[in-house]
Amino acid sequence: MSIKTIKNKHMKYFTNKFFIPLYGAVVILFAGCTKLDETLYDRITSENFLQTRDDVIRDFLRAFEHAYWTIQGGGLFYAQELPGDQLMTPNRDGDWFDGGKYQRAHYHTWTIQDDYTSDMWNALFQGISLATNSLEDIEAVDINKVNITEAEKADFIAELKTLRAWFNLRAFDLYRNIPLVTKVKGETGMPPQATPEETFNFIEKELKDAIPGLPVRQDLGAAGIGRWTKGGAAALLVRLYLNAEVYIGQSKYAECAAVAQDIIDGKYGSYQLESSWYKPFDYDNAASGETIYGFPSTLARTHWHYSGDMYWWMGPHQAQNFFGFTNFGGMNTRYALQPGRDVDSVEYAFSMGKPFIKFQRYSDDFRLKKYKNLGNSQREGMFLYGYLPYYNNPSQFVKSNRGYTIFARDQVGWFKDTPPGEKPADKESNMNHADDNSGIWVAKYPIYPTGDPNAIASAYAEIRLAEVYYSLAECKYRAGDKGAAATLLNAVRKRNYPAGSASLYQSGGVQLNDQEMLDEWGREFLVEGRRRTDLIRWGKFNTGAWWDKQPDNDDHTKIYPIGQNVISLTPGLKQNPGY
Amino acid sequence: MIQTTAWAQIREVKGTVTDSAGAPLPSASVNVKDSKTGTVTGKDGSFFLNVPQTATTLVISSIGYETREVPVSDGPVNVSLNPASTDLAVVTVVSVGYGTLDKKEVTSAITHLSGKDLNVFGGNAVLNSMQGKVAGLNVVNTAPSDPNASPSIQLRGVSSRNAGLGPLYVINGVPGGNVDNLNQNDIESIDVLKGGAASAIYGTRGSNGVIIITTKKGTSTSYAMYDGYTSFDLPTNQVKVLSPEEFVAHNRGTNYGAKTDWFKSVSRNYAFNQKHTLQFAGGSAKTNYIVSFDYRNATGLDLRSDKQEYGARLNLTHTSANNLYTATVNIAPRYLKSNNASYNAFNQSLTLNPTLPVHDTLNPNRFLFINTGFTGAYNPVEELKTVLSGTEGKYLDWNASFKLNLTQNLYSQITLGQQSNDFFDFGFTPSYNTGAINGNNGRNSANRNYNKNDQYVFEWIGNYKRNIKLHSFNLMGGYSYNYFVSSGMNAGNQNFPSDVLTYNNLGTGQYNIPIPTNPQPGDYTFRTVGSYKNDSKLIAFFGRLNYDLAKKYFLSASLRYEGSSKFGYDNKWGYFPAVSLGWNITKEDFFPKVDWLNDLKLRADYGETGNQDFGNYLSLDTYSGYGYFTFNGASYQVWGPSQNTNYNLQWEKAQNFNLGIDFDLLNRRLTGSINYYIRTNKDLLGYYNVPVPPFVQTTTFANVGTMKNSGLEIQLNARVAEKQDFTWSASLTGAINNNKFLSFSNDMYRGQNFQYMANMPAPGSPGPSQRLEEGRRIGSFYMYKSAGIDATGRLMVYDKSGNIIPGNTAKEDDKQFVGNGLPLYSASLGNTFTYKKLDFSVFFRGAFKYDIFNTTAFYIGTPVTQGGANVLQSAYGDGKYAALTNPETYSTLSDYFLEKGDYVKLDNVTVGYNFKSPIKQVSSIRLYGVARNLYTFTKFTTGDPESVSVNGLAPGVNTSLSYYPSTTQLLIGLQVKF
Repeated sequence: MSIKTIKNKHMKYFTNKFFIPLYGAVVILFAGCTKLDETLYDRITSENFLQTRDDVIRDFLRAFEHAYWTIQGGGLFYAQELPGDQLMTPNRDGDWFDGGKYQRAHYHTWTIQDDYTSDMWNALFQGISLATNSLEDIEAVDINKVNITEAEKADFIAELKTLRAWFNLRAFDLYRNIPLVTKVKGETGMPPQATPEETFNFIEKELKDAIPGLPVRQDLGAAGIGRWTKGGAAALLVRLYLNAEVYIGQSKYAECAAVAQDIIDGKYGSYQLESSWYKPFDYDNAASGETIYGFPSTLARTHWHYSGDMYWWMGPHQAQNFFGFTNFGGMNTRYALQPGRDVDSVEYAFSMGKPFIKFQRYSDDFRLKKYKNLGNSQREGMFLYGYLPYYNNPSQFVKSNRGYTIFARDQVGWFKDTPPGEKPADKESNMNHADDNSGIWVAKYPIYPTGDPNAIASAYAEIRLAEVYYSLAECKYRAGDKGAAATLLNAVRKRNYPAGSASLYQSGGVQLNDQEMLDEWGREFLVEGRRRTDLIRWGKFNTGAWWDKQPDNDDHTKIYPIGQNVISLTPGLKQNPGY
Repeated sequence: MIQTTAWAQIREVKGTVTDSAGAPLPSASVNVKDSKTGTVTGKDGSFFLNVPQTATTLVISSIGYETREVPVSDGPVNVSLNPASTDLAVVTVVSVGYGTLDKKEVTSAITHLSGKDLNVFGGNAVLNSMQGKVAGLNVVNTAPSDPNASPSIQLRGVSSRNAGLGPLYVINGVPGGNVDNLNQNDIESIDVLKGGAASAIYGTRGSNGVIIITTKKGTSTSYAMYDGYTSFDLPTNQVKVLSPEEFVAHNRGTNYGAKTDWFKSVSRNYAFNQKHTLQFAGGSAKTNYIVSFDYRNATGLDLRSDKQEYGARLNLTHTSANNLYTATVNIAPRYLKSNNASYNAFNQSLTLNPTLPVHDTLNPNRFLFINTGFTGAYNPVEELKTVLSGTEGKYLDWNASFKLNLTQNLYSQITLGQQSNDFFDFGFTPSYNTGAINGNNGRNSANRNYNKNDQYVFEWIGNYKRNIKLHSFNLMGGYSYNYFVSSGMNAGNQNFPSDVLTYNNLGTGQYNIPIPTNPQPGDYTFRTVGSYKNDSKLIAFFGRLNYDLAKKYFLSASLRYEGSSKFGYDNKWGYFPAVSLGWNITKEDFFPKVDWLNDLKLRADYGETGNQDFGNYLSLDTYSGYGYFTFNGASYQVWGPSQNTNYNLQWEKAQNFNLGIDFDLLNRRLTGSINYYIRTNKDLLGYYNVPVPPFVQTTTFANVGTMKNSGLEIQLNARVAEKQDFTWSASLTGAINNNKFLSFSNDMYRGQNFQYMANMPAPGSPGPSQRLEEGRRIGSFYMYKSAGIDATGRLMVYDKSGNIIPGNTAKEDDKQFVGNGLPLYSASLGNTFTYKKLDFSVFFRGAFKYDIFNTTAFYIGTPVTQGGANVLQSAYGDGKYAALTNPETYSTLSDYFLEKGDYVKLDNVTVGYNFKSPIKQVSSIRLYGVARNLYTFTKFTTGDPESVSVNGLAPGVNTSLSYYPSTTQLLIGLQVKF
């Protein structure tokens, strides 16, 4: 058989029996197998997301969850504390040097390369963008389809606007010249920066517009923790007005006083001061009448204030054994109180800072006790100093990871194994020369031992009624009414001292002066992430001197620069003056 | 009359054909030269043939053997055939993707390796055996003695930011092949498509090069083969730390009284490997098969790791009697069970106080609880002995193709393939583990993760071939459909009633709280459960024309039109064209006929390729779950946008230009090729910083940036000596790689002109060590420039104005570019000698002109290393690291710790002996021994320079102290053919 015959036979065969189905297959394949749509299995797009009431709530809560993170994320906690005169993150024998970042924070010499100058911006504007995204989602939702009422929808919108105002107020305080965001979907460029006046008015208007649509605390009950209420929004107005002079160069103390008085009078809901100092921070503070706005926390889920960026790393490395709480691994030496004494234990001469000495000035303060877990979800004291025995084995003491036993003191230096009371030869005390004994630690929120049913259960009290009292007191003081100021401050302070203590201010407020006002803010709100704002308002942030800190040459550092990572991405974004 | 004469002059010839070892060769062809008369040998190799009296010569041939001509004689004609050598005069068939070419016709940069060019490697991942064999192909394995480690493979430099950097594997014609399911003994050949014109036929998957692996086919002669080896890996280039005595003498920390060599405590004496392969092949020229079985059992150098696997591969080819169609089937299953190594255990072995005992002296049944020393200290022996971690895996790859010869010149072929793998991981920490006792309230914990991946391929090609006088055409067209799907689940629990249950009864665990959503450092994981699924599709149409004129001028042009579901709505499809030209200049009449130059081909090619090796759904407006928040007392998981949308997302584009020559010199004694390439990768895929607001996330996965790689590659093979009993052949490869990150912005995305790389870990948070920056070579170290040590032992550095300041006072903008971690040159040299039945080969390999950041010295190589931790021996004495006595500058990242990475390795020495079989049933026996990584010539001071990867975007720096020790491997093997 020749090749030619084979070929012919094949041709015939294929023409009739093969090629026709082949061509058919080609057509089907090319039509059916060129589709490249993506099929999603384990995730959702915005197009098919909002189907039920729960979906709307999940969307609504997104920015709230992020908001809780921002109490500490992106450097937002330490940027408010480390440049102040109370907390420090020194170089502890090589730990916490971090390229000098924390030292620059202390000396007010940060640069736009320091990560937190960008991270804080991103953290806050992410919150603003998320809140705006949820607002756009919920504004567009068909209430019948997802089974919510018109009133619920209005409430969601009012709460999101209040939350956005909270983010905006913080960005305003830190950066001053910020864009105002009202729309994000489909947007590709950043809105232009607004003037401080525009921003002030925008925040004020958003809050005032929101208040009528917001719930009141007593209607929500204890389960309302995390919800924005009329009282919460009004308290934000207090914050805005109190600092108006810094923000826009016009004082609004009268407006501040009016709103604060209304809150205290119950016009925005029912609130009461706690009668003991630790109650606003205790495991049941979600239900406290002092909590105007709080973030709900649980051991198993979210508990951002107990994170390494905040209170969990405010103790020696092995201090978890002191608390008996071992679920989170080791603590860390990141934040401690700045010292009030030199290495020879002589009190420093400067008047600012020295936070522990400021407490010791009223020596019957309950808070001065060494922290102790008493069992049954009870604690006493707020500070960690001296030797720190193990909770489960009091004969064992917390040691440094470098091997020496910790004896925490109100001093900074290289003490290592130097016994208490002995003066070390090395007299150096500065941000670059500390060991693990340096500085006293603070435990404001309780750290109950592992197994305690209320361990890590405290809500984070973002706004406490005490702040409204203190703000009103400051307005009164500035208006010359020291007596009213003292009364307001004592209303809170009386829980810190035994009944009838001489530590309470005398009526008439003769003890009050600028320094005492600032010191008292510092005592009540120690480590609550507001010291920088208070120092700026009192004019001390740039002019004051404290431990290892001289006055600044000028006051451009009272607002942060917009970080390199932010400013380089947005042509037209104007850097803050002086950077 | 003539006829009669012819009949009258016929004569009978008989004989036997055997192979060189004397074994009969069935089915060998025996033909009368220049005539149609012929026959084939029988089973016993014998033949019988009537030949004309005029016939003087018989031509005897068999597939796989050299053809011989013998005179016709009256007595029996007994012929033995030698196996076909790698003589380049023999046609070398090169796979080019969807077809093959004679090597002489190739117009793009392709390196062809036959199975026997590969080094014997006793370990995981057969691709290690290619190390150093292909100029421009970087095979990096930082842990060759870890029985589960696979190398990273990178061709012609880094090509992407966040998309994959590894080549596309095509196994037996199926793209996306699984190289982990391969037995080295099954490999027939490997073709590395380096030039863009060659790889462009694979479109969006071609940018990182294509490696085509062809496994062995059946033969018309039956044979069986056994190959087995055993290997031992012994530690070499060890990282040396202080002994217990030295630790105490230098007052490094508390003396706990014990003397522990932590390295020995976490190690076995040697890593062990054994592997056995059995192969059977047979059939006829039309229908044949090969089936191969292998079993491997390996243990790593650490106490825990091991791997047992067994697999098989069947190849069946059936061609119809009339050559109408050919059907082939490949099936390759594989099962494995492995326990994971712990690289961190070796980290601990460096840093742990050597006076600590392994076991608790008060309770010798228990390991000592360790939590002090260096950052993250724990008892590594306890981890390796009590914590279970590993997987059970299965691979099943099969493909089938049907090729229909429509006419003599036209065929159509359909290929179907599926590759499946699934892994069932396990993990368990018992309640008596001291970490569990102290950190997890004594709760045991266990988890199982199941991951499964499937890939389906359908391809249909047609091929038309035509020769018209001196013109020959080959036209190919096709369609390809690929579907990829991954899914899996995980489950975990704690507090089981018994440690005996390990991970086998998760339901009995008593711990029922969900996982925390913002786990804190050291947070424990409670009961967990999760699952996922995602998929993607890739569809392509393609065509190629190969044309040559008189085997003198060659042209190849191809186009692939391809789309992927991963791309954004607005950019689903792209075109990937290529063209290449070749000119065999020695065939020109004007070319002077010189004896020493046999063949010289000039080539030029250009191709556009893509890269789509990134995650699914990255362009979409997806929402996903985040943490929890309370609403009216009820806890809700919140949902929100999980990424910024990017409907423009598309493939990365590479423009590849290659110039090359191929040559045969000195009567084919020296052959080789030289290639010069420029590859420009555009629209690099990666996360890019974007402004917040209006975006919700700070980064968008986008196409931004351009990178250029260029270089010169040389590959030479020489037959230095060819005597009767002695041969010497040599091979040389060399490559230069220039890299530049050209730009990092476009109209949409701008402002981020650099990216920090290689962030160095705690303690001290020294920050990133490299920058990927516009105008720079990747791997550029960006840190302080050291100015020596001052009187107090501080590290001094230069600030930006050139002043010398203490390292701890330097600012971010005092940092500068101080070195580079990407080798500029790489080279290898192989020599193979045979003397009678003995063969010997020696292979050197090296990389040159680059820096390594000595991470180990930086963290634990100076006297100011954190107290309580052990340090390198170099921390004391006269060395440069011992001079850093002041702790203030401990965290200062500077070029003080940069060292030359250059090395030359005596990488492989093989000795083999081919025995003459003493018995008839065995046709050949080969005994061989291999030593791998025998010696490293380097100035790098801490360990093996190869344990620092030079592939990827941050070459030349390890960002962790975790490592796997370098080893020397000694291997002995036996190969028997039946």
